[in-house]
Amino acid sequence: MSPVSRSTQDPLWTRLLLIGAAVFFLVLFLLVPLFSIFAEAFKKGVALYFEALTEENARSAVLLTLTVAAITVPFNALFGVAAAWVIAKFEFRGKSLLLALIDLPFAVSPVVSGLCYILVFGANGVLGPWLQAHDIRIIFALPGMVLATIFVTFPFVARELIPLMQAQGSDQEYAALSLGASGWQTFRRVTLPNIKWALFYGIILCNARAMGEFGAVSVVSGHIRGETNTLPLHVEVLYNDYNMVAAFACASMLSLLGLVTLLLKTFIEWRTGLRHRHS
Amino acid sequence: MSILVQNLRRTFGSFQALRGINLEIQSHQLVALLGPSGSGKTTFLRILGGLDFPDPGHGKILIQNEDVTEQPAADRKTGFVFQHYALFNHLTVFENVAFGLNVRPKHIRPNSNSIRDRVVELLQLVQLDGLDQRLPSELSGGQRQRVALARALAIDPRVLLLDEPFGALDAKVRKDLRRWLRSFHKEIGVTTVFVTHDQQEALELADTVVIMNQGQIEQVGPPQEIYDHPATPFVYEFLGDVNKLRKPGRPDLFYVRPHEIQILFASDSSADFSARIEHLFAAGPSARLTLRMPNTRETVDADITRQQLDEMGLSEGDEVGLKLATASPKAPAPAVTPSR
Repeated sequence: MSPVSRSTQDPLWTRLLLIGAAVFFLVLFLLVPLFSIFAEAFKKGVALYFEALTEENARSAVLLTLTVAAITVPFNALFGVAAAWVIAKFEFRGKSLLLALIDLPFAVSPVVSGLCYILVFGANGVLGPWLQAHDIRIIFALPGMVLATIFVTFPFVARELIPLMQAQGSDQEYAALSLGASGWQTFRRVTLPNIKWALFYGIILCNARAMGEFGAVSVVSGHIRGETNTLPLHVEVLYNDYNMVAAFACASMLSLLGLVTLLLKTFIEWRTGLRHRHS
Repeated sequence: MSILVQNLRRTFGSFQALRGINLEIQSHQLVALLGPSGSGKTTFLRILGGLDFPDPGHGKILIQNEDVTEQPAADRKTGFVFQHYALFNHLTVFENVAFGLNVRPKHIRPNSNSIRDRVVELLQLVQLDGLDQRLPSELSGGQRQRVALARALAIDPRVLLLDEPFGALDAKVRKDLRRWLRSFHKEIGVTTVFVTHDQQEALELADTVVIMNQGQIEQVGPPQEIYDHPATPFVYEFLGDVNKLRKPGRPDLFYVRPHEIQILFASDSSADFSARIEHLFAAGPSARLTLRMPNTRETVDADITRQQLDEMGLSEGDEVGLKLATASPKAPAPAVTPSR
């Protein structure tokens, strides 16, 4: 941190008051809940904790969560790079409309987006009869959950890349082209290395949200135990069954995911910080 | 190699960046595109490099008699050096220079040994040997500029295009690099076009100066000819150090450079004007006078020798006579209202 100049420094009591307030809220709203999740999970011993995690329905929920994330994240990473590339490096009509569309999932409640999928793909939906006739299951099955998750996590990568790519401009790409590079070579050798940390950052945020998404997935999943319950949905089911230890054990896994995400995020910020100081 | 440009137009929305450019550049020349910002010079350079294209059907570009108008940058083999260099930050100096060779398709890519030899040779040429493993962020502005130059030369370009090559450098480095580029160009002999808004730079460096204004070419010629015989009022004013004056009782404007004004004693009957010395400063062998005309309230700059200043014993506030030097027949510009 840069030293604070005396002219902008507040008196001691103001500083103590502000810092105290910040610490108080941090403890009350973050540390206490986080601690209580683990405390509840281990309340009846380590054995029960691991049993709750390895029990069949829990394993199926973890597997489903990983599957959804494994499809969603690469898709949205590809989409995000493509969208950011188009928006940052080209001028075209309808650009602001595209930007607004990318932001749409942030603006719409996830539950609403889930309901929209039901209206389109559900049994009474627009495409419902056709899907049924061809024996394709989307709602209350994996495809629907993937679609809902893709929609909700649409903006993360693109939003991370667009400002960076806009700030970098296109000169390096033009330089590569004038040196004889093809479009793909230019992307591979010039664009991608310049955005790799922002891309990684967007991907971990996207992944965290994809694994943690509740609202949209809840609507399209149908809550079939051992089949269409992801980890967050499984936590809700257990909680409603008053199975506190198992509920908190599964919740603790999601919390760990969050902590890992934060660690990676900090690591990336540290890395890119180093690079900035270099140049 | 020679470049021929015919009737080139470029429009951005409703803005006409280039309105019919015709230009012929001979092989091995060092050409300056000179003009104020917004005159279209950078757009023109980018179109030459294939980074932008003329309005469809409006204009033709030939490099060594080959029509390259529709050819994309990657196929055109023009070395382009960007104003802020656009070096690849994540690659070393060596990798930057080797880039154009490394991206060639396999069957025409030199093997890694010849690529290395070529890069080493180029880095020697731009006097950066030994810095090949540095990252661009570890170089000074002048060094980055030369890496960009070496990178552009690696592809054996048919022409070299430089966008404001000294724009981002401080005055001292600018001067050194300018001198260096002049001898460098003599050594490699590649037809080179550079964009600048600094008339000093253009006049000192180029074989041919192209003066642009509002998307059109105002004048083309060797620096001396352009300075001595400006074709339009714009060129006269843009080349700097020029006075606009009106002869008493006549409406037409004159352009006259400071050194073309003779200073006489106020009592001298051969004077065309009389004026009062408002400011005077002598640096080295010449002195610059700022004079105010009593009838029109306009100010005029005049350069005289230090010797004359001392002999006449002039000081601020003195009344003097002015005479337009008869040795400069080109002094009166066309009687047009200046554009600015």
